[in-house]
Amino acid sequence: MKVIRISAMWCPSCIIMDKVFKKIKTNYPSLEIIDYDYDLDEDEVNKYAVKDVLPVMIFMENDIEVKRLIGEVSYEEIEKVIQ
Amino acid sequence: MKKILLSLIVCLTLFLGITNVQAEEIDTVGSLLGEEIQEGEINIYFFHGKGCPHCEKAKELFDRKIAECPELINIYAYEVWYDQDNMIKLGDVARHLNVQAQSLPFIVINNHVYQGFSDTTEAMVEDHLDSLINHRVKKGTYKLPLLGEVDASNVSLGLVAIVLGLIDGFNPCAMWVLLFLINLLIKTNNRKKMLLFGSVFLCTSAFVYLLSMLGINLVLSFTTITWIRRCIAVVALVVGGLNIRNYLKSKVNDEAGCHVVNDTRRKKYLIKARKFINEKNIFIALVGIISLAISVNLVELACSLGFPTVFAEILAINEVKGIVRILYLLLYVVCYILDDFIVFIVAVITFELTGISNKYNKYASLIAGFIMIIMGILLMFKPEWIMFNF
Repeated sequence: MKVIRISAMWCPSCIIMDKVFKKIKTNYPSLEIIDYDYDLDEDEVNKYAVKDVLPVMIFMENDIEVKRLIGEVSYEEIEKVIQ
Repeated sequence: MKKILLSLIVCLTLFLGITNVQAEEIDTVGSLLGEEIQEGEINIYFFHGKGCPHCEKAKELFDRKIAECPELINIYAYEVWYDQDNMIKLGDVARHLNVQAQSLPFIVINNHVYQGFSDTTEAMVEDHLDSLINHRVKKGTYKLPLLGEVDASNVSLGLVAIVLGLIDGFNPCAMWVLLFLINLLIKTNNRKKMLLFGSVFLCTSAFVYLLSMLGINLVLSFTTITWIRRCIAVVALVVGGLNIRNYLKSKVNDEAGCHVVNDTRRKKYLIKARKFINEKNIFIALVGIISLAISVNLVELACSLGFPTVFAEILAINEVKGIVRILYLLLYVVCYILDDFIVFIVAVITFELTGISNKYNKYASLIAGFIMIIMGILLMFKPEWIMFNF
C-alpha cells in the first residue's frame, strides 16, 4: 500500500498530522509514504483533484485509490484503512 | 520567557485596573456663580433670553433629560435679557472660561460651552449629557458561571483588553505566514537566524496592528455621537453572526483542516518569504521580512477588524485618553500576538513546529461569536454597562 500525503508548510492541521504519521511510519515501516507540498508541488498535486481542505491522505493499492482521508484524523482511523 | 511575559501582563493589568483615568473636568462655574453644587451630579448652567426660540428648544431638551434622571441633573437657569445681574454673571462666566458670549442660549456643562442651539449643537449637547449620565448610572452585580457574583463596577478595562486580545489572537488570518516562515527557518538549521527573522516578523506584525488600532481609536475619539456607536454595534453583531455561522458550518462539515484560500496572493507571499530567508545579505533580508510582515498584516486586517473596533469604542465610551489609551492598546496587542509568540519560541527551542489543532478553531469561533454579539447588544442598548470604574 502507498499513501500520498498532500500538506502545506503553513497549515497547522498538517503539522498536527505530521506527528501522527511519525507514529504510523514507526509501526508500519513497509508502508510507502509520498509527501507533496500543496504550493511547491503544484503539478503533482493537481493530479489528485484536491479540494480546499488540507491535509489530504490518499491511500493507493496497485496505483488505484482505495480511500481518501481529509483534514485531521486520528491514528486509529488511519490504521483501520491500512489494515 | 513565558513567566516574564505573564508577570508583565499581570502588572500592567493591576496598574491599569487601579489607574483613575476619569476624563471629566472639575466644575468651576458653580462656585463662580455662588451656587451650592452637589458633587457627582450633572450641573447645567443655562443662560437664556425670555422669548428666545432656540432657548425654548434647549429647555425642552433639558426638561426631557431631567425627567429621565431627576436625581442626576441640576439646571441653573439665568434669564439675561430682562435681568441685568444675570447678564453680568454671563460676562463673568464667559471671561472665566475664556470665550466670548456671542449668542443665546449660552450653555455650560462641565466647563464646556455651547452657544446657540442648531440641530448640530443640540446633538452635541445631548450626546454630552448622555455620556455624563451613563458615567454615573449605577452598575449592577451579576452572577457569572465559575466566577460567582461579580460587581461590574470593579471589572478592570485591562481585563477586557486581555480577554478580547486573546480571543482576537486566535484568528488565523495572518498566522499562516508565520508558520511558513518558521518552517523554512527550521530547514536552515540556524537558530540565530530563526530567532532574528522570526522576532522581526512578530514585532513588525504587532507594530502594524498597534498602529491600525491607534488609527481606529483616533477616528472614534473625534466623536462620541450616538449613531457612530450604533454603527459599531451593528458591526459587532454582524461579526458575531459570521463567527457563529462558521461554527455551525464546521459542525456540519466534519473535516477539521486548513481551508485553502486565495491561491495567487498566498503563493506571492510564499515566494517572497523564501526569497528573503535565502538572501545572503542580512540587511536586505530583514528589510524584506519587515515589508512582508507589513504587507500581510495590512491585507489581513480586514479579516479581524471587528474586535479592535469594538475595543476602540469601549475605550472611547470610557473616555480613556493619552498615554493610558496607548497602554491599553499595547496590552491588547501583546495578548493578540501571544499565541504566535508561543508557537515561535517553542519552535526556536525545539526546532520543531507546534500546531494548534483546527478542531479547536470552531470553539474559538463560537466563543468569539457570542462575545461579539453581547458587545453589540450592549453597545446598542446599554452602553453604560461597559463603562468601567478605574
